[in-house]
Amino acid sequence: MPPGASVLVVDDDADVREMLRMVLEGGGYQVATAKDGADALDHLNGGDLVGLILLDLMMPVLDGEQFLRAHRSSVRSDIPVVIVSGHGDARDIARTLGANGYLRKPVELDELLLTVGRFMANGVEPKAR
Amino acid sequence: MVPESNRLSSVLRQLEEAQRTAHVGSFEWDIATNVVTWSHELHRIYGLENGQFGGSFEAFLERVHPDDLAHTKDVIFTAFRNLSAFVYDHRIVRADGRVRTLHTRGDVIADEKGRPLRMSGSCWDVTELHEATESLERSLSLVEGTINATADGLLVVDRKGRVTAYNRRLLELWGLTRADIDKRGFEELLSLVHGRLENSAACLQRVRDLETQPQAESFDSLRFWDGRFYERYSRPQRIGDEIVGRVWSYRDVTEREQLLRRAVFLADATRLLASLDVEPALTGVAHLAVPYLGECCAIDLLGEDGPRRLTVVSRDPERPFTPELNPTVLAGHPALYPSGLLSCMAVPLVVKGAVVGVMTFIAPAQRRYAALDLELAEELARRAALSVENARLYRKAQEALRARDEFLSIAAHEIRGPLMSMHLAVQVLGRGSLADDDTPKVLEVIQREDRRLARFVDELLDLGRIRAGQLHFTFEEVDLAEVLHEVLARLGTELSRSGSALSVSTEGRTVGRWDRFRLEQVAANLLSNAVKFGQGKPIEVSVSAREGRAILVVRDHGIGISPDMQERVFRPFERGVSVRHFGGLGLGLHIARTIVDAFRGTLIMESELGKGSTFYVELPLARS
Repeated sequence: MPPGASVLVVDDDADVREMLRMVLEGGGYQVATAKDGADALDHLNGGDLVGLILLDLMMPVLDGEQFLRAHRSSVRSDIPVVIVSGHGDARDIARTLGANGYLRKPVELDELLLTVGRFMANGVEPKAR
Repeated sequence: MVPESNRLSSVLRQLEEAQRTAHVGSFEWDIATNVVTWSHELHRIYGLENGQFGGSFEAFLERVHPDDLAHTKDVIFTAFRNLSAFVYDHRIVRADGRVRTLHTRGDVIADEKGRPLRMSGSCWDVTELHEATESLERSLSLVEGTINATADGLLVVDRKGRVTAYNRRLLELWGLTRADIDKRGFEELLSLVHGRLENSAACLQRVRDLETQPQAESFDSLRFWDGRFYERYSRPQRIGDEIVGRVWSYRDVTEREQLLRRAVFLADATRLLASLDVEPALTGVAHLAVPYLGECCAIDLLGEDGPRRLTVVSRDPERPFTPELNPTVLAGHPALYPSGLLSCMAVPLVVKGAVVGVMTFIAPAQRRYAALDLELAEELARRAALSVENARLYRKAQEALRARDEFLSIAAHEIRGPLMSMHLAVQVLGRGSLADDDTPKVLEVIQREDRRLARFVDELLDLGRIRAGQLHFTFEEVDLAEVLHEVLARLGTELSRSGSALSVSTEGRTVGRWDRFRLEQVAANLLSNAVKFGQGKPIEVSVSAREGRAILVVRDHGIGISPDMQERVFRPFERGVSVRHFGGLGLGLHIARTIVDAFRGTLIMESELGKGSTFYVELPLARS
């Protein structure tokens, strides 16, 4: 992972964004946030260095699924995506959409840091199984 | 040589003997002397000993049955006047009181000047013969009465094919006159009527079969081209053991058969209509109705966009009909009406007083629809309407289930959001690894999420109360403007975080008797809604009083709601946007409207997609 790469948190819930930002910054990562899929695409198009995307599914304007489809066909499709969702079928959805991993809300702090650490240290992980 | 007197007495004895053997008595009346002489046998017939009879015309009349007295005198005096022979029957009363009937033949003997001298004659007892004849007459009249009174047409044919008897009903059933039958044999009659039968070949074959089996009985049905049904029953006619002919009886069972076919038709239709897939079911019914109910059946469904022809089935696909919708039926009334030369019938499908569809039928060229047809069509329409209603209810139930599932999924998502924030917050606080200036932020998050969760729980509880009809109110004097300001103060953070500029105006006295807590809820829900869907654009709120009503207006300039969704947003589990788009349980507007309704007020919205929404709450200032 190139130095200076950030974790992009995409969630429509301002408090969730805020908490993830605090926790990840506490873990030594740089964090960028987006309030929906469209916002996230804008951010990526801005050219900032992003090492991992943490993606909520249910969001206004452009939801997680729509964002993933757009992302997969973009030039930055190599950036791994981990779905963070309260959806009961998050695992199946992650697999279907070809996400690199998933975390079920509410997320355990250790699990979150471990997952983010793996992607940020080693580059792209194998797809979710 | 036998002397003359001996010869005479011998002849008289022989005569007596002969009379006794034949039970024939004789009499002679000498008119000049009024002496009546009876033979021995006549004495016996009257139950008298020789010599017991008084020997006069009056003595004879005394023994005549009183009911026959006048007739007897009439016969005898007429014979005297005309000097003619006579024959008549009369009853007598014997010495032992028994009544017998005598048959009398007599003659009058006159002198050369035509004056009656004597009357003589013979009598015999015909009581048994009389009784037998009467009984036979009674039997014959009974038979005749019965066969003419029976509802069955009867025809008796001898073994040579000659018609030996028939009744009036037979003539009626086959539309024949006496002349038609009297000059024809059975074969000719058959060829006269069998063309009217749909199954004439089978019916004729049955007759042929029976010709070779005279002892057989048979039963079959005759189907007429014009829709009638007869049952035919046949059995041999016997005299003693000998078969002398065959009795055919015919019964008109058209009504019974039609009722049966009607019942079968309705049962088949009902089976089709049991399907919840209502349009194919109705199409099936239209196919079932042709040709049973007519040459053509069309079904139209009436939706919000007006009538739509679901199907039209014509008996002859080469000459399809396109019946027009009858305006009377659209108004909800069944109708029989002509269309050109054809008879038409149309019935509405009515669900809860509203016409949801129309069934139209066209009769075959020779037929005119009547009240009975309309009755059947109406029954069919009732069942079809019920099916439409069932399918609608099923769809509604499915939609309600879908909405509830969607709601549960949203609720899970919405609750997981604050849970996640709190969960992370508690964990980072526990580690003590936060930067100092982050700690107050984390505590703020916890407080906010706590409130969000409490609001979810309140909303869910309110929904439960609304559904159970147990939303209770405490009415007191409340100022709507004051309530609005309190709510705005409480939502301050939420409002400022949304980025929407807020403008508030209050005007006039807006005090009424409402439930303060519930009124706050209405204002809070409308404001949260404006924040949520306002896209950070300005929000205007106003409170005013007009014509005895307090008016609260909340206007945003956000995403707006499409016209087809505008009523749905007030139902539970529904939101104007797709599931994934905005936070919240989607219960706010439903709860707000329920409360406003309970206050006898109105909550309506105006909205345009992409331009924003305005909600108007009107409440009566004095509770009526």
